[in-house]
Amino acid sequence: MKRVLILTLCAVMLLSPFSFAQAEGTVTLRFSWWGGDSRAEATLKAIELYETLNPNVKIEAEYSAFSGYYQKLITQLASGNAPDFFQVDQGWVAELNARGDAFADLNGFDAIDPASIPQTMLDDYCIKDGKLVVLPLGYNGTVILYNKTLLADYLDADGELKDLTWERFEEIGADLHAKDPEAYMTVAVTDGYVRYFLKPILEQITNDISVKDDYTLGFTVEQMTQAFDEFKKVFTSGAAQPYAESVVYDSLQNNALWLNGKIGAVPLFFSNIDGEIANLTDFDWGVTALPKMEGAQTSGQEVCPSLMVAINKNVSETQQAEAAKFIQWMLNDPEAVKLLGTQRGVPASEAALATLVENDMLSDIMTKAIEISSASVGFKNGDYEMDSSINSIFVENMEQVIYDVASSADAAQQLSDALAGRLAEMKQ
Amino acid sequence: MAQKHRLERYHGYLYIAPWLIGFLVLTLYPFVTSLFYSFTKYDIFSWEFAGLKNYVDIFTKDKIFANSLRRTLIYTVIAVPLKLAIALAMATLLARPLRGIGLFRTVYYVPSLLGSSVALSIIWKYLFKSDGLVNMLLKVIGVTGPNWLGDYHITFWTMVLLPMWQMGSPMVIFLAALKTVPEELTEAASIDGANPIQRYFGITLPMISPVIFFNIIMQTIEIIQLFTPAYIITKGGPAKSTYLYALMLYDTSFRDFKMGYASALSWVLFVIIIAFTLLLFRKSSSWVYYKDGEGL
Repeated sequence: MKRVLILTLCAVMLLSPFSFAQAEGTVTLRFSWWGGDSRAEATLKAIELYETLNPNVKIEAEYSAFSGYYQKLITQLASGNAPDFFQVDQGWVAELNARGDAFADLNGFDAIDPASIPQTMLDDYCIKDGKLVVLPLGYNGTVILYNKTLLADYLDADGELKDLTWERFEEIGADLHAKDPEAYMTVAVTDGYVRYFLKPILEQITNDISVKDDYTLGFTVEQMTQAFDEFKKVFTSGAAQPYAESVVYDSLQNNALWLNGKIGAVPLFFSNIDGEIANLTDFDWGVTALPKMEGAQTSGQEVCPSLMVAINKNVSETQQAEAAKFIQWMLNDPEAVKLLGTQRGVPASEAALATLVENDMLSDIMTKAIEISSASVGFKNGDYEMDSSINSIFVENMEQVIYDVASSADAAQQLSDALAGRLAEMKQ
Repeated sequence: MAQKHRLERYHGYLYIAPWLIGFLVLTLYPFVTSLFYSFTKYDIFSWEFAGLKNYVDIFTKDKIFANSLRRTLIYTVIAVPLKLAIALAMATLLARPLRGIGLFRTVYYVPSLLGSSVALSIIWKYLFKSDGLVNMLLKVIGVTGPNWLGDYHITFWTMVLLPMWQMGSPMVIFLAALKTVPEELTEAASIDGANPIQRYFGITLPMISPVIFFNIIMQTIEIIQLFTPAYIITKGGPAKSTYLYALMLYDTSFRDFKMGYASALSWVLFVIIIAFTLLLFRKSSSWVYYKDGEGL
């Protein structure tokens, strides 16, 4: 009896892989992305529609939070178990292309036509070593979102807050906080202070990006010291909520001051605007460009692809070809665009953007933010600027300045040394 | 018949197979391979032999390692005795034969069931943020609470407090040990005029000293590897003030993808833990009492 049981178990284990055999001609694709519930919901609807239109294709969705996504993807790529196509962040493309050898050349697929994507975006972010390795699903840009109701005393005759300098930004902040001790001009999450304050200030000083694509730094220690000094004024002036208070919040939506309308202005990527103010309907909102230093030639604002998609070159040609068809459909097809909306930022495809505009799917404030962002003069992000180890070096030294653990000069020196060391490792 | 017996011999292995496979694949294999990788430059996609370079770099170039190790050792040296002192005090109170004591024992043990979990860390984050429950309660009694998780000088000490809440495991072990202390000894001391404090420090503690020693070893091994709270609550901040060793190890491997270097870091930690344990064993002969007169 026991022998029969053991034989049965063995038979079940041996035969189980065949139980998932597919109908002949059906292609099953794995697609991974990160994002919240609303993005997952919209994407699943789009997948469902695509599967209805293409009964021979089945797409298995593998979605998760951003945290841990990259680690999982790298492990999958290294072990040869990565999805057929997957979402990637702009900051990972150069590294994955150099080390992972993971990307198929999208130019090689008949189905993909990148003509609807602005050529500068393709050149700056998508083409590596002459290959089109990723396509941007959306693009995004940094702007300042401000609370017109709270800042009513500081608006111009048009009811706007325009042409801000850092000095003016801090003056308003100091005055606002003096009048209402609970209110602050601004706040950001930890990384946000690097991305929206420190780096723009540094770029405005150097007129260059901070980490160049040839693994060198775009600033001197003296320039970094100046940037730290200028950056620190955001706190010492009283404009920003004290860092020690805001550091525990990993999202604006957890910060009581923001939810109570006590924050005047926040820098953010424009695709997040609607979400951040969705529950703050008692206030009027406006958008403006990031503050500038006197005489700065660049805004320090980012305009970059928000989310990108790549095809795994290590899967079968059939899988790759079907993945390419789906990506093209997702990029440009009007029905897909309507389903996906701005869940992956403003569509990078001009055709898709036109679809959204025609269908009145962009809010007025987002439309204005896009205009402001497009009009700004900024640099492309460097290939390695958004690398998480590079970013962590910036965060560590920025915090040392904020907490007075190190002087601006010492932190600038430490930052330069640590970045140089890390970049040398990455170059190898 | 003989064949049946042979088959039955394998049943035991079959029953322990899930654990055995897990141990071999998830513990022993990574343990051994990490030693190999610690002598390589390995970025998850490819590797090359690097000899002792990783180890040399750790001790000669890596400032983050030195800072992180220092903070972790301070953390361990403070948190372990504090946690065990609280666990012992609670066990002493809960050893008394009072009505409903079982309920109290359960209540104090429950947090330990949650382990060093993500959910628990998130709860702590919300309790200790500047406008969190702890400060709200302090405000009720007219005290302005500090910024537990944002102040550079305080956050580390807040993190030291965290393991205290989960003193249930050592507490239960202490409780069991306290129950084994022979009553005739304390009674005899009592007749000889010893007061409760003298009886506690003169008889009870020496009698349970092997269990205290066991708990010190186990807690040292656990706390020196603490990861989740530092990762979830502070991400090692502010300004690296809570950047404990295990978090540095994680960042080196899964943020920087320096797997070879991270393997070397983990072996350095392993050696430190072994050294700590050996030191504790060596010192134990002077204060741990074994009934049979022979120590370990």
